[in-house]
Amino acid sequence: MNAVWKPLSRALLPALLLAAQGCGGDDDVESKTYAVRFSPQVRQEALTCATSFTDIGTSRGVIELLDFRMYVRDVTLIRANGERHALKLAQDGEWQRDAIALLDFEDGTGTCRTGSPGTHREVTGTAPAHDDYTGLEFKVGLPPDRNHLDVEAEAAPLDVRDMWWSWQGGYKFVKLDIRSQQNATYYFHLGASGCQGSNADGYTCGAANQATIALDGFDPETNQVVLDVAGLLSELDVNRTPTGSDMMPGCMSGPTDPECPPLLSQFGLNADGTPKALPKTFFKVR
Amino acid sequence: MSSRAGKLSVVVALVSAAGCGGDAPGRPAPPPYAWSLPVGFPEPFVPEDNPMSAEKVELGRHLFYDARLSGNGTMACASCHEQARAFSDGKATPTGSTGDHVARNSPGLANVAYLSTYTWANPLLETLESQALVPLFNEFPTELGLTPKLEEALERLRGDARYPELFRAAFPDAQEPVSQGSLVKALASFQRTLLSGSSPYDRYLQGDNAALSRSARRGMELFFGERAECYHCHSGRHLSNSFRAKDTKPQVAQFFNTGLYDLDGKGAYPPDNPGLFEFTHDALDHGRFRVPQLRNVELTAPYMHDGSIPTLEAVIDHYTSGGRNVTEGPLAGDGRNNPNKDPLVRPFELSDEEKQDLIAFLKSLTDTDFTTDPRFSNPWK
Repeated sequence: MNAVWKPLSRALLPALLLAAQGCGGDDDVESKTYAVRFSPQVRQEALTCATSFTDIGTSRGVIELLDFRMYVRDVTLIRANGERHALKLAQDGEWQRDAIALLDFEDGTGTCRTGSPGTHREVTGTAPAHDDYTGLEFKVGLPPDRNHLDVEAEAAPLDVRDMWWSWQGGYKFVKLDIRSQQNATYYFHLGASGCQGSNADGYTCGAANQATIALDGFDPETNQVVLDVAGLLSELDVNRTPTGSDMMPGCMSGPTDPECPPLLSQFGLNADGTPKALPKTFFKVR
Repeated sequence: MSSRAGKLSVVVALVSAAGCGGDAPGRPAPPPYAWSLPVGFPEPFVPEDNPMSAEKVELGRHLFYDARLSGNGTMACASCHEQARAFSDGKATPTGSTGDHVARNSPGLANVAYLSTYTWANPLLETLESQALVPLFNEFPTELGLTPKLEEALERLRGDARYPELFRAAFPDAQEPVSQGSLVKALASFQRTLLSGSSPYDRYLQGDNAALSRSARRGMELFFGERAECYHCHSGRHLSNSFRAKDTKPQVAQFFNTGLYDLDGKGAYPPDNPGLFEFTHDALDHGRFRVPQLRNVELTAPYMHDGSIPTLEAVIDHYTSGGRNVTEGPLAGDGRNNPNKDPLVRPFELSDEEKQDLIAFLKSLTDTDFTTDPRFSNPWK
């Protein structure tokens, strides 16, 4: 250990000093509170628990929202010169903790019967005040080392039982449930799958499903992140009648579920959880 | 390293010192739980954070039989786990409270306290507590359907005449005894008491040679012999190789493919029920399932993870054939050639009389004391 630690500590020291200065003000730049806003939509229209939305997917179905929540983390603003500044999240005791935030887009009213009254549609935190932020990057979900905690023992926002996935022994990173004319629930649950292990020994997952979303042309003062559910479902048939080989309408991150690849693709993920190019169909900038 | 060990020992010393000085004042430590273990049964493994108590068991029994524990109030645990059927349900596969088709057969619950993993092929569920969350909260298929209705269900229980007292007695230190955590702990505690050890086979093991018929004894020799090879998987007192007791280390869970299907010639099982593959994404794990215990197997028909074999006779035919050839329909394929099949599942011959002997042995595992024991019965009746 010592042989490794000594050169490492010499290399780390300047970096640590820089980081310490950064906390004080990043070369005299004041830090400022930013709110990265998220807007779930169906094309141009806001996605709410009070409306039905037509012309969805390959069968041009009608959908209603049942539930939409999502964990994001490591929200980072990127300057025109490429400089990256991770938001230091406000620790609000409810929605944001460390670098993790739970976004909650349903308010438990109307069609959102499985939801909760509270909502959280923006990630707030501080970063150096610059007027040339032009890019945004964030990750969807929880890091592997925090994905298998005991939901009952965790502090907010990791204490949300509806986001705990007892069968997979981890969290749902995204829970986006809708209903269509043919399906009382059409599910989309993104999470790590193919996991084995125990809390004592740690887990390994066949598909970690760690998505990194990078968006250009994003000014945190004027722009927001659009989550266009019409785009997300554009290649799917929300009225598909489940058959013997795929009984479940939608996708719960199963590696062989034919409805998973088009959904995971919108997060820049292959069916096996490895990264691929991010299409601009679901995540967009407005 | 040495300084780290030193620090550790200081911490340990401080903790133990605090423990000596500061035992909970007022409340004496509860007496150890009085297991009523069948002769020869070891004490089951119990998680540290859910020690057994008679009060928890009694609460769990009430909850197990209570349909208010489902989202729409239509089903209880007991709906799929009936005492008269050794806590199975007689169906190939059940239907959940909201009408969802459940892909896996309801297993019997005799001696589940001794399993090392739970459900047919989930390696992650190592305790009855973690298992209980699945039927309560799973969304697809929905079983009891509590995910959107937990608060509503807890309110129903709080408003009952009996529950507040039962919860208070079971969880005397809890600020809010009626909670998800209490439900799960009480249900697990009750299930740990579902011990079956009074069958003719048990009496035989205890030295009563007359407990088994001649036919059952011949069947037992087949079962534990090298022709039928049943015991390789169905081993030990509980006749499963999934086993954990208080003083045993957790073992590496084992899952086996018995050649029921081969949809694609490469080992695939029906996609809604791929077995261990769901958790490993390894093609070699297609169709691998946990070995069920065989206690009361006469009462837990139909058989296999999907209830696809109706009788014990047909199960024996399946094994003597070395697997199953499904000749038509969407599940067509020759499971006998499944590349993942356990090598001990291979064709062998049994005479009709030998088959009857084997069945006589399996029926000697039936424990009518267990299926009529008032301690396990519906307390609401």
